[in-house]
Amino acid sequence: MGKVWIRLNCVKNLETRGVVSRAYPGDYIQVDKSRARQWLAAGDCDIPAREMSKVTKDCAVLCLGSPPENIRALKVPVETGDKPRIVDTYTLIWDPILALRLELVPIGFHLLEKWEVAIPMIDYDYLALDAGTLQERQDTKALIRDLRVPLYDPRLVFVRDCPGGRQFVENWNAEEGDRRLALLRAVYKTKPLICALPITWINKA
Amino acid sequence: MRGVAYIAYGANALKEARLSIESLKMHNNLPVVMIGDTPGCHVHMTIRDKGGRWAKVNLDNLVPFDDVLYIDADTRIYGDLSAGFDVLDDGWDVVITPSTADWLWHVSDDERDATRLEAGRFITQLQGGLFFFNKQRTKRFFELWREEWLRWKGQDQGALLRTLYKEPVRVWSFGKPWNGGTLVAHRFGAAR
Repeated sequence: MGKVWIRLNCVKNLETRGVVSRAYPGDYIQVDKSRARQWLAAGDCDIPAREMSKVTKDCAVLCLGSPPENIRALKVPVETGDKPRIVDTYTLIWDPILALRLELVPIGFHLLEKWEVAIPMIDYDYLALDAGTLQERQDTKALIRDLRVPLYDPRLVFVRDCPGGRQFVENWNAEEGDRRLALLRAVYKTKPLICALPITWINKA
Repeated sequence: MRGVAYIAYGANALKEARLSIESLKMHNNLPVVMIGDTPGCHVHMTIRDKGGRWAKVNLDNLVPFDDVLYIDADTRIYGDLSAGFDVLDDGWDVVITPSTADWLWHVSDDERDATRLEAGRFITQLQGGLFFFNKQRTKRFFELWREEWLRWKGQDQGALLRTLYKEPVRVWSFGKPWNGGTLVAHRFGAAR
């Protein structure tokens, strides 16, 4: 059965293969058409046609490895590559080592309408001072001033095709060593409008 | 010019702010302004809401510094905080720590629902108890923060998220040691 994206106006309990989860007002979710019609009639949701057309039209995924089959469900072009690059207006640069929460990908693209870059944090307790070698930490500290900062996850990076986004990708590719510290330095050097995403984006509670 | 701002309304908050300033001065040579409604305060502002949030969203108008560090009164400082100002010098607009608390648990149901609808719940919640900002580069941001806060006149974090969604600024994130950790200890609620 065909599914459509909707944006909830109220709390809904959703069941997927016997597992119940809760979705909240403002969440984008995919439901089958008959359910969408029911909820629309009750005022429980909207179909955000304008917003969601953007996130399916000008978006692409750059997969840094072999893309798994389920990525097709996103219905956006998927390219493969071995280093970060911008593919379309809104690009997700994804390392398939990380299990992707498919339902969040359109939201990530949507956030790029506001921000130039959107990246989840890795952890709130594991900080830059815990990563890399001593030399890498010293080099990073010389740039970013203080290592008591959270790291961003290089496995899931949303980037918009704009001067800030392009500069960020260029700086990212120029950095070497520990991937997390390299990404942090690229962010700091570029100073893009960055949306820090919560750790739930990388499957952490 | 760099400087630090505190907001203190009521005896508990004043006591806490004075102790926090004492600890700040042990490690930092920075001018401090205290905003409140008692004679000891440098900037006098009549209280408009229980938590002094109206003063907080007006910090850009109330403090005389270009680069400002706002700190909650119920904190203790255990080290040099100059890195936050250095980050502003490098071009970031705001430096703040993420919040690990349940999403907007402390705001009203109405405001939480509105924030979900308007900004979504997929961006990181921020801890408003300590942040650095460059006054010039956040003028529009503060204007919007005031507008958003006036809608419910409650806590400031929901308004902060909606503002960030409407008017993104360049935000650099500090980690837990900076707010509720080894560098800045936070005695949450002690100033009430």
